[in-house]
Amino acid sequence: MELYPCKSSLGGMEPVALVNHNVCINYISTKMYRKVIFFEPIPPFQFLDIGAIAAQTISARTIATNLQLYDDEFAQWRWYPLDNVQVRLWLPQTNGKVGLLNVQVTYDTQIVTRDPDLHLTEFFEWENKAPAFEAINFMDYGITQCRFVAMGYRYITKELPKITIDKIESGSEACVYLSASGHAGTAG
Amino acid sequence: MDTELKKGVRLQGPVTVLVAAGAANAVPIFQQSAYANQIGTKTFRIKRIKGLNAAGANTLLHIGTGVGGAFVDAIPPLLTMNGLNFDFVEDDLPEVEWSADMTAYPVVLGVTCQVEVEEVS
Repeated sequence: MELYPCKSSLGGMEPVALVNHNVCINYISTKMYRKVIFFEPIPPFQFLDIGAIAAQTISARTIATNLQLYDDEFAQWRWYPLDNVQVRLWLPQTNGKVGLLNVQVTYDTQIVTRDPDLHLTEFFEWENKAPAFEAINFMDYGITQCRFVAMGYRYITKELPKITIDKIESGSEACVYLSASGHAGTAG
Repeated sequence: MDTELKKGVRLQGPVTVLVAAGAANAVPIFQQSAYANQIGTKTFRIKRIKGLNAAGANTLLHIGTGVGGAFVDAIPPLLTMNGLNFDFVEDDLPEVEWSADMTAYPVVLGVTCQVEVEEVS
């Protein structure tokens, strides 16, 4: 079974790893080699409502505390905005996701028609290092709520012994590499 | 998975007898789900309104938000004909989303109505 991040498969979402699989979670500049010991699916739920946003205004950057996890856990999320806004994603709060040289790309409500499986919204979260969301109300009228829906998988992990990490780094043992933070990029 | 952005669940309000006329007497015909222990914020869109005009005259039915003089129309008033049922369905109604109780009043009293909504969350 081939598992990898952002997999589109045949119209659904698959876990990125199963029990006993090795993962390497890259959080900012730290690599954490872990073994999955438990995972479970999280059905779609509304995890954040930023609230009212005035016309042509950007909301405060709001941490999605309802997505936070316990220690030694990571999550694989796909999500979409339910209300008509453009959204900047930060992971964690100060690291912009999907930043290109000249623009930080936004997510909007059209994602559900352009990418019905939402695989291009997928991101990974480490423990309580939750994402933050900044909503742009580009319309000429205010909105009364700004809601987000997420779904995915929650994984509990334990640390791998050094001997296994050495095998992974030498290429003799399999591992799935995941990024759980944004990356600012380097202008060259 | 085929996610649909605003696909909700179809629900119905109670049969409501609009016993008094005028904006100051608007009453709820569908109430927003706002239980403190629910997860998330629910909104809803009107999909159908069925009713009976027993007012003794043709009359307008106003549908919006607010009660006690704070009523605001959310869609244009609907003309209902004396002694007849009315039935406005999805194609007749604008896709307005409510984030507060839906209230209504007739210009002439004596209208009974029931709404079907799609609740989104």
